[in-house]
Amino acid sequence: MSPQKYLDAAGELLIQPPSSMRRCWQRGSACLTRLALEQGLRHYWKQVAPSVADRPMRHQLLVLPTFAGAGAASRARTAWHGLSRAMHHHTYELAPTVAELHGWHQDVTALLPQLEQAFAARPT
Amino acid sequence: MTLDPQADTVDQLILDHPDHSDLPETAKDLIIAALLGGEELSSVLGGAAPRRAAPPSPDTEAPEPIGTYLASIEVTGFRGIGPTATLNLVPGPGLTIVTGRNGSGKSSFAEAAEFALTGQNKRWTGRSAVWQEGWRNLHATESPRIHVRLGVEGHRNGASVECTWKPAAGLDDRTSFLQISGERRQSVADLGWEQPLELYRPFLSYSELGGLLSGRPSEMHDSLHRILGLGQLVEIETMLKTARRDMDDRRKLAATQLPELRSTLASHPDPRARRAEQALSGKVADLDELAALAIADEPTTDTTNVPLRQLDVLDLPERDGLVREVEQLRGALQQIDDLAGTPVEQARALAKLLSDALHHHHNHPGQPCPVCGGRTLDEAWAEQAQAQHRRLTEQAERLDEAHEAERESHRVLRSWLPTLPPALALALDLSAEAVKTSDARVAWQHWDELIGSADPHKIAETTLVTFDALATALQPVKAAARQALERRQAAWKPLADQIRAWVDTEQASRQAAQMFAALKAAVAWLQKVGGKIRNDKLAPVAAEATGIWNTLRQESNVNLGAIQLAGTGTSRRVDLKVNVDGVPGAALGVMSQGELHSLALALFLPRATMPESPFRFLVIDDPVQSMDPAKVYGLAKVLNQVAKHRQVIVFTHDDRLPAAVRHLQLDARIRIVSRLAQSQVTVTGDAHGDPARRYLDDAAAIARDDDMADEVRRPVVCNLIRDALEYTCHERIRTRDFRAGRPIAETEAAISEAQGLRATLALALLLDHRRAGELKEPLERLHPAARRVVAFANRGAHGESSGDLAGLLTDARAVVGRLSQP
Repeated sequence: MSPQKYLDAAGELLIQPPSSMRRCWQRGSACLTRLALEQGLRHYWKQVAPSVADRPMRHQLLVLPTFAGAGAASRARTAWHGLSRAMHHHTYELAPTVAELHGWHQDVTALLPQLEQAFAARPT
Repeated sequence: MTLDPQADTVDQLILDHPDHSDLPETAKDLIIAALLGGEELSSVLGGAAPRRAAPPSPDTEAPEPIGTYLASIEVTGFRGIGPTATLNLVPGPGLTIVTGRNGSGKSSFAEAAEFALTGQNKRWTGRSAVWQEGWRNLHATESPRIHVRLGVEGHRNGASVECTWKPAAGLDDRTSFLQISGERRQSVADLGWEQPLELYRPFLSYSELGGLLSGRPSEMHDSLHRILGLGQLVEIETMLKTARRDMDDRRKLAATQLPELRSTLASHPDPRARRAEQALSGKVADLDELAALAIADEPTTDTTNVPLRQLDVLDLPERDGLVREVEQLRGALQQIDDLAGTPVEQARALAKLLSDALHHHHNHPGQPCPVCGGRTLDEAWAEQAQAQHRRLTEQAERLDEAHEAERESHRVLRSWLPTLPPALALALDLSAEAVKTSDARVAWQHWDELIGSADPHKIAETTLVTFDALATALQPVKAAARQALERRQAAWKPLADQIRAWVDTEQASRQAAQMFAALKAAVAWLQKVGGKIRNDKLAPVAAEATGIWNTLRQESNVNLGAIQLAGTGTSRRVDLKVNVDGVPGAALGVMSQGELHSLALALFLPRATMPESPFRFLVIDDPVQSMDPAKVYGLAKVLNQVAKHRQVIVFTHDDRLPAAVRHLQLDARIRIVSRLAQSQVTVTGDAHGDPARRYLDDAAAIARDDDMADEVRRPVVCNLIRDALEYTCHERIRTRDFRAGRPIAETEAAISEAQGLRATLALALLLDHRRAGELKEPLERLHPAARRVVAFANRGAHGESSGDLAGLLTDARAVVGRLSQP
């Protein structure tokens, strides 16, 4: 699945969660959004620095500013850490709100074309 | 330190307001006078010529006050802290997060600092005694003590505030003093922080965050008002309103006093009272006439007044003169008596006869007397006749003289007193004034009769007696006349005073009526313009708050709209408008508790970071509670933003904020407070507490990741090492400059001027970023590997480098370690 498809699916969950997911659509959406981000990054690394593609996310995020600039990296960090927190179960924390999910979703939606452009602009 | 740097701005805003034109000149004068202060206002109200304020020159901006930072907080035996524990801070802009579990004593540091500097703590004030009694640490063996070291801009060693308690003393029985290094101990009040603390309070606790919005609407309005430096606006409005009330009272005063004056006038017999009534009868009282009447003498037209005045000044001539005159008269009469029997004509005729006979004898000597024909008129006769002739002539002359003297005396005595004065005339009856003139009149008539009589002997004998009788009779008349005059004056004087007073009052009232109208216009104008000025001044703060809210809310569906200061008097409030999913509403009604906290923080941060505030630090206790995890990221960003220009110290009880700082790679220092048994509190650096260390740890993670291509890892590791070096340089520069007393603004400017690692290192090690070419020696002195690490960090960042990453990292850690020790 392409990052965009994951994003679309996550967006649909936000608007109209199927009844089968009525308890877990938030985490589902978070999961799909994060997948979209990870897929996008993987895609990006494949083009830019293939050795980074399969490395842990922390490492990818540390490398990202060097390649994609501080703004994109910061956005990716915020979204990824937020989404990771949201999609895992935390004993004392409730599921994220629609607004939060929307926020991350928007972040990733904005980030993906940014990454596309970044490597499209690179000479190599 | 009087701190009202925005006062001029309010003046300026009012003076420059374009709506001046519709304002009457007097009203304008009054507003300007009010701006200059109460004294000026009352003098202008009193009719003084208005002074035009010299407009403050727009290009002299109020200098920023001397900034103060926290350098350390040392606490003994206070709240949760037993034995002495110290929280060391870097005095200067930057974010420090102090974490600790509930009850670890972290809040005790915040409360201790707040208490030492402000003398109170918002968390306990207003609470019951149970809250306040527990301030002493139960495990402390020493007396409680708080020692807050301050970093003061421009002071090499800063200052410190110490707060101590005697054993068993109450919370408020503390001894606190301020010590500026090299100076004597001073009272904490000398800091002059009372007003700034009120305005820009740099301490905010969790409970306060809730209270900031849940308090009375007017309180929030007032506090925003004060922060915006709009206090003066309220002040002059109050001043003008008070003046308006005074003027309203005063303009009616003359009218209320008028009936009393009228009735007094009506019952007064003095003719001036009639004229005063006349002057008052018109539609507008004739004040000039009344004023003239009040100071006028008794009217000359009065029938009884003139005689009384005449009597009052009726003085008889000196008695001594009279006595002398009478003596002369008596002398003359005596002489006449002595010469009695020698009537003058006979003596003269005889003398003439003798003279003729002598003449005859002279021509015809020795002839017998031609008259009697007897004796011969010889020489002997001639001699005898000569003698007799002389004697007779002399006698006649003396008698003439005596008569002349007598006549002269008589004449003098006749004109000795004037004729009976009209005041004593029978036709005049002054008995109404208790002046009885009859005796005096009779005595005067006696005198007139006496002097008019032809008998000089009688005159000579009784003149003095008559005169004395007249003087005696006149005395009571004169006294009575004087008394009558005084009585009249006394009866008029109070009325004259009353008239004069009323004239003054009426004049004041007329002036007040004018002023009242002007004041009404002034107040109305000020309220209209004030509303605009308020919201104009609020706009930047509101915008900042909205910006902070937008970062904090992280896509909360509540959109913060306009923040406005609304209403006046008791209905004043802050209107917080919000949009919930596009539907407008009032913020306080629709927001959740967490959102309210965020909103409070959004309002608190602009307030505490006003440039006019001397506090360059912010202490925020547990802002993360009841915040959604996503908001914590927003909060971290906001705090990081504020920390660029302020020292921000945040206390928090869990790891969410530190985690957010780590995830977002923000330059925040993290300290951990932990509490052992017996209230032993320790402060340690987090494993990830130091940003430089975090960069190096991240670099190490990448360096160890052998699956990653070398050409990827190298630049990333280089970048991170460079970040660590630059961060450490910045800290070193800040600390050094601060200790040297250099203004923070200059330091920050120098730092941002130093572009790139080598320039930054040059600034850190050689005090000048332009000396990057001379770094060789100082770097070698710093650490043997320093040049290699720097070269690598620099080159690697630009894509070309080689060498062993792990070894490089070890060296980098050592270099950063050395660099962080000033």
